[in-house]
Amino acid sequence: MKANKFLILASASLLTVTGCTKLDDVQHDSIATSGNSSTAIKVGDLLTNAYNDLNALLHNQDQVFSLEETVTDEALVPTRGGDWDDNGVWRVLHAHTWDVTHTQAQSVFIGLGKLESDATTVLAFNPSAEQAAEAVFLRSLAQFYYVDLYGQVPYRTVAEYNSIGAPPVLTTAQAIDTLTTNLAAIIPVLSNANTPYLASPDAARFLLMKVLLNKQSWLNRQTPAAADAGDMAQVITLGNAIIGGSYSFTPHYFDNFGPNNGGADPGVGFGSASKEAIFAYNNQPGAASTNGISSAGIDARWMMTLHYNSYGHKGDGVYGGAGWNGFSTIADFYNAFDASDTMRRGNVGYPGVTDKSGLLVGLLQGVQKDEKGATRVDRNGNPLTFNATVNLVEPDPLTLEDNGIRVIKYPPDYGNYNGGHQGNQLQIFRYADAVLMTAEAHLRSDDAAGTGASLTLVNGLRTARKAAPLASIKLTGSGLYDPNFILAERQKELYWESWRRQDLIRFGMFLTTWALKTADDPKFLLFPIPPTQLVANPNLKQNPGY
Amino acid sequence: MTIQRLLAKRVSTLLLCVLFTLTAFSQTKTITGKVTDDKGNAIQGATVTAKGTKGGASTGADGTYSLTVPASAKVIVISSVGFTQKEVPIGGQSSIDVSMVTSQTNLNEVVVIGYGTARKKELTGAYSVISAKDFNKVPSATPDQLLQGRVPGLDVTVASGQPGTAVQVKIRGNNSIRSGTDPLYVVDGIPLDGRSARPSFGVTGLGNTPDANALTWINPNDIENISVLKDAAASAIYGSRGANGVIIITTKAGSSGATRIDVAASAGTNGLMKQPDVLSASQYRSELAKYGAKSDSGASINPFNEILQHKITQNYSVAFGGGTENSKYRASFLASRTPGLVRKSALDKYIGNVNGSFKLLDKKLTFTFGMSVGTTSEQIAPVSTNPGSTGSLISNTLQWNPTLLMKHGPLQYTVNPNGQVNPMVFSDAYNDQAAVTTFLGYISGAYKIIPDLEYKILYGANYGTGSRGAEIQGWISGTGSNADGKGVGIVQNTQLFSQSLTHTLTYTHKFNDLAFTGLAGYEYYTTKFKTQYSTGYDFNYNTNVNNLIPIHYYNNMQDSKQANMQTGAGQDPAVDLQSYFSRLQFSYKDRYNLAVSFRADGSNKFGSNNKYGYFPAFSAGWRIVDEDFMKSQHIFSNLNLRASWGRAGNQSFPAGAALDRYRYDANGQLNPVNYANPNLKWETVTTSDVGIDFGFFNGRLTGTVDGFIKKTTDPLFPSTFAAPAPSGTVYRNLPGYISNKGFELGLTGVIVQHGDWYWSIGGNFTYVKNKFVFPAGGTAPLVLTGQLNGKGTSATFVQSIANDQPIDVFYLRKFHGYDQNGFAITDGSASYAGDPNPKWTVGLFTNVEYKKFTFVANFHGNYDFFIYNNTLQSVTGLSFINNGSNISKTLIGTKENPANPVSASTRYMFSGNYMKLGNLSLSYKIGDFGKFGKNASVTFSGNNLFVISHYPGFDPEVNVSTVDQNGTGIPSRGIDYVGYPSVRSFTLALNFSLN
Repeated sequence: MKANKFLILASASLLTVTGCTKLDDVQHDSIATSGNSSTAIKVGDLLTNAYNDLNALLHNQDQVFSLEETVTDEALVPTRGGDWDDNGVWRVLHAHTWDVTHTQAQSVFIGLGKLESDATTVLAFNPSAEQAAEAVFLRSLAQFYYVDLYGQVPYRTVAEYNSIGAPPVLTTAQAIDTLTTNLAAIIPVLSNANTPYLASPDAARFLLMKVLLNKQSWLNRQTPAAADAGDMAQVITLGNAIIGGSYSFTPHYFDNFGPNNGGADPGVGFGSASKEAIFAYNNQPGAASTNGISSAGIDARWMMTLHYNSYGHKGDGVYGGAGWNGFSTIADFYNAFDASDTMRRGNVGYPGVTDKSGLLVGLLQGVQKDEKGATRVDRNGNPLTFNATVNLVEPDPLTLEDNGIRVIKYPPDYGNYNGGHQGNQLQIFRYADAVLMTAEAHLRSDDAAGTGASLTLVNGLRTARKAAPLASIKLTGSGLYDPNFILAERQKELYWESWRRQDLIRFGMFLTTWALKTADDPKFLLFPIPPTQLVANPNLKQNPGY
Repeated sequence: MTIQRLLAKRVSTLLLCVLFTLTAFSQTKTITGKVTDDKGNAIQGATVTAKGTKGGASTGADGTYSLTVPASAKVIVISSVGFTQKEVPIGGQSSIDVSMVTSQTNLNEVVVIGYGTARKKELTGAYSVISAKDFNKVPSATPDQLLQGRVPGLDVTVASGQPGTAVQVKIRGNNSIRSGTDPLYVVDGIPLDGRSARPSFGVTGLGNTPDANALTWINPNDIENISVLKDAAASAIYGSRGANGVIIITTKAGSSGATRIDVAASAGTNGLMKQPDVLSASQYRSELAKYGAKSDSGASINPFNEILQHKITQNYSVAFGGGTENSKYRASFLASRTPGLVRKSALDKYIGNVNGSFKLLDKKLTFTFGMSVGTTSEQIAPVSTNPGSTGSLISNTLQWNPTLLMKHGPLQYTVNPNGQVNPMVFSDAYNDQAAVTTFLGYISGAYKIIPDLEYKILYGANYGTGSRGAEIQGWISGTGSNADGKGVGIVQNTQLFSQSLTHTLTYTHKFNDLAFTGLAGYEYYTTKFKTQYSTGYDFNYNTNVNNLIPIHYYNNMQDSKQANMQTGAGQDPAVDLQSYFSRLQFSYKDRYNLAVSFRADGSNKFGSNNKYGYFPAFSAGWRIVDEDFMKSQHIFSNLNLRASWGRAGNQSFPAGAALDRYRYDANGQLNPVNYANPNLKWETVTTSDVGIDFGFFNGRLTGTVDGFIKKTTDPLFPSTFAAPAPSGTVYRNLPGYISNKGFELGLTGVIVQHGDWYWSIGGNFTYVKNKFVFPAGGTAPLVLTGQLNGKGTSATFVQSIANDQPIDVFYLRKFHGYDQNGFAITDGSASYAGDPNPKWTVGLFTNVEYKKFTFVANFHGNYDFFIYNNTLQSVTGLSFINNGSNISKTLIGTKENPANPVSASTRYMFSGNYMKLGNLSLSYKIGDFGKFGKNASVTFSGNNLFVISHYPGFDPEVNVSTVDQNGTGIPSRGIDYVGYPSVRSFTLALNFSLN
């Protein structure tokens, strides 16, 4: 019995000992490291990850696009009965009545933070000089949107890249200095190949032009001071460097956005790839990924605006569902195009699209047809007619689906449909904008008459777009749609490219009234800091008025 | 002795030890007899011992026993659960029949507590023990359903009618902000992981089907009793897993005596508990006319009739067991088939269980083992908790135009002119099969080193493996998924493996009037979870309804376009938990009881600065009824005052949350998924409890009342990272707290106990007030939760976590009726609108016995809470009538305009108050039959018979989604959205024993 007792106690203590553990947290499907010395972390893959952050942030209809566009006169998302209310998030954007709880203001803030964080992490893992410059560009892009939308820029130093504590915050003035310094520093380091899908010297120049042009309106959004002559001279220098590069106006405007805009699909459009891409998002047609680029989401550009029955019947299996029947524009904008300016206004056919489904491109108004010319019908069985009339809340059950002019800037890539990814490249920085910015800098510094270098640049663009030249171009206008107002010219060229809000603020027009927006409050010049971020980061201060 | 003979003797001795043979005593005599209740019914399983000796005999199914006692024995002691213990002098008798008296509370009854047992009268914590005879009679139930409505403080919500889906169990309120509010389940001493190995996945457009119940592999007929540990005195011994309470399931063991076979068989039918809230064809026509809509297609159907099925439920269970005083065994097998109410949904279960217990080495060593293997196979209907705008089978059926046929003939499906998915197409083109096999094995040895000191080792392994294959065939259209015209197939496998090793040393001794029990233990627990999947779309066949072949995509994945195939695999970091624990119990004169427990838990999940957590508890009880001054009174038959204080933890956050982690994803990009929080730790729930156990009038009225205050400090909060940061959330311990204050009352009264009649009524009432306190959060919501799904509801959140509000408080614009144009008038901004957490949980039950008939009815209900009816908002709202969809009946005569936006407001928030007749049964005891048949009975029972509620929807209990809708790790509560409808079932069961 003694022996038994001993045996049991011995085996018990043995089991106890073997049962003891150091309680290490062992990871099986992710790499765990407590610092930046891990050799398992490849800095190039971190950089790819940072580029891929741009995907959702810039493609999706409810991210940067929404905050920069649906708050302006050129986009609105009406509530159509049971569709697209989304708790009113869209209506309040166009009407300028949003509050601190706006979910898009929150998700964009967080999305920019991820881009900035992922770029900062690249810097922490011993990148090459060029990788570092690319990361600085991406970090600058995040900071650019932060200052533009929120007026405050939370950031982390490279040493603190993995901190979860409260990050420090740059004021608008500090952010402008930081951006100016960093962008100028990376221009000589980045690759001169100027590949449009990577950070390049021209992309950095373009972003620096934006910073310098918007500087005064960022510092005082309600009453911007006059531009600094030195800044404008720098914008002109940067712009001329871009204009002297290998870019040119694409012969047909919509080829800048079509399935062949990256040159991958010559069977559609008017045959030319876009030569205007300074910085673009590389969407690989068909496949989910090539070379680490995460591609998807470009379909939001047309789905967000088209009616369910705009092409095919929803779910007929030919081109999937046509759209979500949401985004529209207003009649005043449609009517702002003069008779010569129809290439950009559109409502015209596009090879490879119109012949397949009847869908036109540009600003779509009127009865919609299929590829054989037969009238398409809405879900009530009535002819599908995009009426110019539109309301924030559509009141008539029989027309609510149809109202509102739709905007097809990106002709759908029918060659890669039904789950495959479409090959249209997302234009982020476009050559035409660089030309218009250079023209604007001339106006702001040396060309107040608007008949010199600035007019030459603007008319060069208009000629390329087959629009009649203007007699003069001005920094102010009698209204939003004054044809000689450079703001109006920018709108006609750059509509739905996520610049309108910034432009309206820069020209002091953001608080004026337009269709379906009556009153306004200066607090709407900035978006609110999301309350969850205020709690997480006491260094942020809620913007005035919220 | 030749070697052969020696061997033979050794072997036979061994066999004698191992195989249940009695050792002969010298100088003994044998006593036989029969034990019956006061009505003469045989009592099975009563223990008969000779006073002052060890060991004893159990009565068989016919109540008879045979006990060998030393010649010197004077008295035999007979005890049985539910009866007052009795002592009978032996005198010269060799045959003693005993009639036992029913006792309402047998205070000498031994109940299972954490890592040990205790006499009921000595308990100082809040425990509720429900034994098998009081379980709800639910066919093919999981253990949690057996308790619904039966235990004060326990709120069980069966959230879907799909057989085998997860059940929400909350003990005394909502302790936690994020998911992980389930109690810890412990089966025969083995703590379970809490997850099911069934793969859960979502299909684009359809959303995620409800989670599987993690306890489906337990045969309800194998359960002896279930202990619910509610306060810290009871649960703190489980340390960092005890904060949500603990549910200890004890399975049946063999009893000594002749081998007995128990047989149970049942069959049943099912139907809808409540008709759906949509218009009939004729009502729809008149509404179409009213709104000038043109979708009358001429027919008249009830769309739900097309997608429901009424098949027979079957359950067969056999168990046999027996043994001797020193060796007991039991084995059981269950096979059941539970067809779902919705087409193509079902749950089949096959569960085998073997256990045994043997006393060796002069009874100093007790060796116990158990093995249970359960295989379930499920067919899952396309009903998800979060379908998007194109809907699930239920939303498509609710919306289906009741004037439009779904089919004109075989394979002749109607194409809905408005593009909605035809529910018949959805049902026919969707196939989803899951199989889960779960093994629980344990082995334990307990050795009495000296008579008062026992060492025990217990090792348990719980392995679950699940596989699932689903497809949407390509001939479907309109789902908004990749499937349209191409087809999608998904295959997924998961493995869940947890192991525990427990050493305990228990010392019990009685020093005159002071009884002492001391426990010390060590436990190591580890669990891992792995998953592998592959998805493919764009298949070459079954893309045209006229040419279908019966081969599922998920069995033929290679047919999909290779470029569109995706595979993946992952393994969660193993969770390792290492614990040291101790408990001291003192009982002075059986009147003054004191218990102290302490546990230290170390977990590899915790941040580097907080590797160990410490969880103490203190409790005391005073059995007033046993005081001398109470001796002369006849009012109280029981009066016991208890008080406890203690701390338990909750560590249900993902492993790896405290580390910097990077993951490669599909594109070869290396994504930082988490940055470290080295301070991360468990959340702590501190519970204070004061309770009184009472009995009046000789046990005719008994009950328990408890008041409790629970405070969750360092609540785990999946907080938004302070940007710039990786996406997602970082787990933090917030410097706030959650409070749950309330009381619970359990009462049972015997109204009639006279002659052939017995009638008792019982009830339990729990009140909990829940509040989150975080003053730094200000008045605005800290985070919006309760994200809606469906048409027009992107980024719509209806709930929030906010300072000084209940968890998940509704945060909505107030609705003030419609203006003259029929548009809603609402407040401009949202405000705190109501509490989704029921303040009152009520269970009511009655039991009537007359001769051989027993009638039982169990009601349960929740009161004082709100439900958000997102089905009414996003599926059956008025605006959809213009798209040819059906609408809610409640909209007849509304002033609303069909163009009124579908916008979240208090318009869709309703009181959820309900009382439900959960189950009702009528049994008849046939008694013994033939030579071997014993205790036969036949039972007719009904489940979900009716619900009393003003709530407009399927059921205020079922269909209330509690899933994490927004990916923050914060679940919502009380959002009703097109769930699987509640099932009313009727079952006829036959039980008997053979021996």
